[in-house]
Amino acid sequence: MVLGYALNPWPSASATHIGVRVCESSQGLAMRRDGSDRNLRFAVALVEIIVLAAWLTMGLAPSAQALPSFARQTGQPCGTCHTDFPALTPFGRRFKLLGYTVGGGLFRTTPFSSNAARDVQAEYDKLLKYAEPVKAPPPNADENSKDWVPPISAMAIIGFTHTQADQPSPQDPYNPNNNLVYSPFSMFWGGAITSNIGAFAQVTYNAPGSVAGPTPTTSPFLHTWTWDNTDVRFVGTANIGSLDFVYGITANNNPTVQDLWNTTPAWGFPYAVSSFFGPQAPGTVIEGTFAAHVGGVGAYTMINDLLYLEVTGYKTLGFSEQNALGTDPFGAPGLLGGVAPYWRVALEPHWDRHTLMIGTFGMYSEIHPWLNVAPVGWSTAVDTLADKFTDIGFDGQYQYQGDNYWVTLRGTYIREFQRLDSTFTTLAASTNPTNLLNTLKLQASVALGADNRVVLTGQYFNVWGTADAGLYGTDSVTGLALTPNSNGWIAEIAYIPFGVSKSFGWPWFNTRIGLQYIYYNKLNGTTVGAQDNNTLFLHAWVAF
Amino acid sequence: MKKVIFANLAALALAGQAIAADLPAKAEPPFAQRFNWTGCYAGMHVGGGFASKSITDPVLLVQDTLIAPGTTTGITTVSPQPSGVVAGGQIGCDYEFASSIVIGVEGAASGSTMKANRLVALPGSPPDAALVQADTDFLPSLTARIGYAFDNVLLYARGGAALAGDKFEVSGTLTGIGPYDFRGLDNRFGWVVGGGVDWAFSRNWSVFVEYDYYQFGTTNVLMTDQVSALSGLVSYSQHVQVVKGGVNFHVWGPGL
Repeated sequence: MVLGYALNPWPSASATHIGVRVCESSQGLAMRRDGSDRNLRFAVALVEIIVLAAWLTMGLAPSAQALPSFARQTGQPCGTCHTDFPALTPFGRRFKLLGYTVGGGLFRTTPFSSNAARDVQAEYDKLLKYAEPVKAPPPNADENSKDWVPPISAMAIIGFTHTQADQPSPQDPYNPNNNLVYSPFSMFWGGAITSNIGAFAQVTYNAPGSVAGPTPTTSPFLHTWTWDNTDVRFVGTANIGSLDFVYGITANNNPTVQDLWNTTPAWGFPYAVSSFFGPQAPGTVIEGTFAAHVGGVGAYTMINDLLYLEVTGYKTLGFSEQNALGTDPFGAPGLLGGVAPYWRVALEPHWDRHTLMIGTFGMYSEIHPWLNVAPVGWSTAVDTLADKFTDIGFDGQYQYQGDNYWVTLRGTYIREFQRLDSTFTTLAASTNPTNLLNTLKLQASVALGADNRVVLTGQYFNVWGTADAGLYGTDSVTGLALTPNSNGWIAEIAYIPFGVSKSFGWPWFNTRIGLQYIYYNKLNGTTVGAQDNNTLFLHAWVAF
Repeated sequence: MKKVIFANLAALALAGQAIAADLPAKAEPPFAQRFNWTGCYAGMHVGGGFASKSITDPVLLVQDTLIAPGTTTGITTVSPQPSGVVAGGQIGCDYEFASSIVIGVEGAASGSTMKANRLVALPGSPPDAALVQADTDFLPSLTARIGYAFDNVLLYARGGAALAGDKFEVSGTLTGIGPYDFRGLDNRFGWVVGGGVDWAFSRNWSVFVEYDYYQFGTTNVLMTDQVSALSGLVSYSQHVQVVKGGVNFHVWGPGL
């Protein structure tokens, strides 16, 4: 499981499409019940979630921040950095850019606050101050007198899932439908380590019996505790002539987890997904295929608070290292040969209350597939030939801050060229030696209110690519090779009771309640049965 | 932005002085600031693409793969000329020296509808023929550019690396054997040179027209028959010419 539930709709679909669905999310501790009492179970589940939500809302009324350790450090309510969790505001992006090191007190005023944002020059002056606490933390007697609290947080999700059709057997230990899951549970280090070094590091507990790889219930490498999204940064600032630089080094374990915008895969919408999906639409390599299977080190810079540049290299960890960190090595399609380069360029002009971003990102990876992942007789050997993937992505975002509301538009397109030397030649698992795979996501979101914030989000997703009988099978009627083509819609309403307040209990708790519906028009090249996978997901998320 | 503010203030100050001194009606011309190309930009473009491809040897691919090895004698090259619309976007940054020389770097990507086909006879199975189709649907590049600024008009040349997303298809029906449909894809790296003129018509906006020549050399692509699952190689060479126009939004630093 990567980032709790903050995954793309296709959590970690194998880019080579030669295995069964790879779902790294936990299915948790749902209780086995008979199908005869589904209505009762549905009602009970709703009551449980409503009660939990009410308890979170009333009993812990003062809760406030997305990741409480960040809130404790910055002194800011969650609404300063997030329009929704984990969607970032301009301030939130710069907090991340500055390596999670920004301290409390210095940034109590949101740079893009409603009144100040009307004055472009004032906004400009404030933006320049983003770098000051990193460059030269001013002496502060009050700061020195404060107690230090380790920036540790935790989160848990409870979710109820209903799919249009029952899940195929075997479902044990779960129900064919209407499952209530009380996991995963994650712990974080989130915040500054020194004035120049900060970290977001997550470890996650997946309940026993969870689905975590191509051999879901029989893999000898399933773990309950695993390392999860991790991003450690060193950051500095410089001025050269008229140019202002924020520069840094990132060490992370998931391509795009270090990115500042929610248009890239690791932090893209939907932020919480049910683990009770049916068959998943294929995804490109950069969309989470190697999350937690790799280590990467890169350099980045933001020039004049406008131009973001980054280059990072990724390499898969060895079989033993992955296993030692709690990651199922067979959860990825194989090992990377050499270093996979990742790049990112983004231009973010901003004026008055408007922020625009246009960018590109991508990665080239050579994957040597595992030769045998069978439960019995598995091998750590990989093919000498490699499948080569060239992912090129383009993204854009527009964000507007109104009086007590945010409007955000996002779009992401990824084109992947696949040269399947191993899968075609050695494994004989694909019909074609080369394929194309495209993914497109278009999203609109409105966050209404400060406290008692309601977030409405809609997304259109589309996947299309080359027909390949080996990878996608054949149509049962026509006998023609199927495609990865899938498309549909996601609608979500989320309620965040504490967006900007700092009342009792702050800054120790936060909560979010969401109701999400995923509609499939087409899945894996056919409309037949696609809508059986339509999913209703009611969930409550709590961090402390 | 500060320079613009200062320029405006300077213009106002000059005007004020003229009035105060009660100068003749023929005042000095107002101060006009030169456009500064230093900064970054993002924009969109649209134009036409004209490719020339030489594919060798689709006849051998079909006959020696599906009929029998050695069926084909001689070498056949087919040369479709795909053309179509090219549209996409670009991001770049420039720096203008005091000498008005401008250097910069730009990343651009285009989708394309360039497509063409040719029929070629199959002498090993008369009167059959194969339809050879070639598409180019993706054309990104990373280039450096150098130019000379005549105030808000920039004449420039560019050059750098490029990539072409190519699709090939050889299809038809062989008498006595049946239909076939060989398909192959390639991402081909090459180089691009070009030039154009960019006109900044406001502080943040410019329009441009540009010509680019892409060369991708010669390489092989593995073609697989979707019917029989048999495969074979063809080689191809190509160059592409693009004429396009577009608009860029220029910005440098926070605010506009």
